[in-house]
Amino acid sequence: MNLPEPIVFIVDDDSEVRASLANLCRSVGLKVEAFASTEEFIASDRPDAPSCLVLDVRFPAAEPSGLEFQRRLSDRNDRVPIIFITGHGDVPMSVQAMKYGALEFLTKPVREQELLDAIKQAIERDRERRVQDADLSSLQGRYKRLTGRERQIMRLVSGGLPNKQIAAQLGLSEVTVKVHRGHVMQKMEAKSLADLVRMNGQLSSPT
Amino acid sequence: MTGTVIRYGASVMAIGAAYLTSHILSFFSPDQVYLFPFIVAIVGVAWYCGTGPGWLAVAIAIFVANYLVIPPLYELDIRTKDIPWLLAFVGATVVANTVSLKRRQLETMLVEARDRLEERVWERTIELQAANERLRVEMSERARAEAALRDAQSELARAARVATVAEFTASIAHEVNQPLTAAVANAQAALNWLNHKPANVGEANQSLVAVVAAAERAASVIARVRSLMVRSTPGFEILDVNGLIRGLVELIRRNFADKEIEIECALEPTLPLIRGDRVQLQQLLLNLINNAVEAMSDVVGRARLLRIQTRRGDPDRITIAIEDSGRGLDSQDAGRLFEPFFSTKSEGMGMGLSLSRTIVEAHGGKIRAIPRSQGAVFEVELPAGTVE
Repeated sequence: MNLPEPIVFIVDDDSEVRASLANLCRSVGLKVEAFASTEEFIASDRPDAPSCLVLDVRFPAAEPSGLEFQRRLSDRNDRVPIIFITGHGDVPMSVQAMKYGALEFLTKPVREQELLDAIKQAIERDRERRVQDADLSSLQGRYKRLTGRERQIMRLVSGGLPNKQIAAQLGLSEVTVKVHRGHVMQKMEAKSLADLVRMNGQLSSPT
Repeated sequence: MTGTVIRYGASVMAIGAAYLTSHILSFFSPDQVYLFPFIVAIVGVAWYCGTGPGWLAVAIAIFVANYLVIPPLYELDIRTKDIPWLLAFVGATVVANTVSLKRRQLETMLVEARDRLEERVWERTIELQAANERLRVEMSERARAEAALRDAQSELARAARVATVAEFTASIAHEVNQPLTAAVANAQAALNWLNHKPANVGEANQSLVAVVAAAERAASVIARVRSLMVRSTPGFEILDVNGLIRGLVELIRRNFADKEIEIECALEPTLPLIRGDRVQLQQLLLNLINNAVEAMSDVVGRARLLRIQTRRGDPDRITIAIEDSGRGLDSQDAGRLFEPFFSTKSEGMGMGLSLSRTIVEAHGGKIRAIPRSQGAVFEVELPAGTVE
């Protein structure tokens, strides 16, 4: 699956620090968008690309509402990985940041390699998540095309029941069940019974 | 049990003895009948042997008197004319016995009361001693509590100072960290731009300009901190250093009593006046005195002596010397003492002597530390007030 070019978002209220981090990312060939506040970041229209957020914890707009910011992101089903950077990294603060879902917690002045490694890792994680999400949504699309009866039969087949029992349970003939089952395999693009069972598992597990 | 037998036996024997006495007396003067020995015996028995033996003695005495003393002898019959006489004897024995018993009872009660009294006096004395002891303990506890309170107060003041400094330091650290972060990131970016093939000189150039700007910003933060630390125009006035020292010593002497520190002042009476900032010089002297006191805090086995001296130095200069008998100085440390954040104390901020030097230099003076075999001397040299 082809995804657009990854992008790094930087949120820091200190324009000099913000510009320097953006410059550092650009110098290693990463696409960057910088914001002066979390509000700006949330209001922005972000491209659908693998990305991560580099967030300065200390700055005034974020500090009192780090949790609030995190909540707003998750309300919007926005699961962008966050790398926190701070001027004074104490343990309670880093613990809190990790609770907010931080991927990394770095102290200023940030070591270049640490930051770039963290960014790469975050983008990789976001990319994987996006691939998974895309897989799931195409799976859901295929599932939607099944008729009610076909869905019933898919569930029972995945439950390991033989055709005979399914037929008895649904009050159908064994031949009819076989036909429905063939349709299910075809519509779900399942290569084997094992494949179908896996798909059923993915559809029913809430991710 | 044995006691009872002895007492009743004594009662019988006393009456026997009374009869013997009466009998012997009748040899000397046969016309008389001698009954008084019986009364004496009854009084004695009642007194020494108690109620039962007393009444037994009365009974035996009446029988013996009737049988053996009052005629006709050896029979219980009595002549009619002797009846009142016998009755009088009986009455006398009863009265003697009763009175003696009563007396004895009173005497016993008296003795018991006296014993009880003594006992109570003794108890009371012990109680008083205990109360006294409690009072003494309470007094020393109170003294300890007061000392602890004083310690806690000065500890609190110190903690407040440290907290202020810590807060201040944290904010300076943040202020410096921001441009430092920018400088490091930009410098690294510049390297990356130059490593591109071909090198992106334009971007590298811009990155380096940003590095310079960030470094300048950091420098300006430091300059601002400096100007905060020492006011650029101290409120100079003509000052009497001796007076300043005396005032300070008055203030702190009270704190020294429980630290067992002796203060000795040797102030030159003809010391010239100087021009200086009163508050800053007070702070300077307090810093040096506190340092000296701190240095002596773990001295045991010799005197803790704080010596404050003023002298005329070179023409138109004065010297203040603060000498302690504390743990002394490492000659290695002596050179670095006045550097900021250098401290030989585990909990020290390393700001005291650094600030002291800043103050002395703002007054056109010099400060130095001289190690002694026991302790150290800090000498401050200041220009006299006539020079400007």
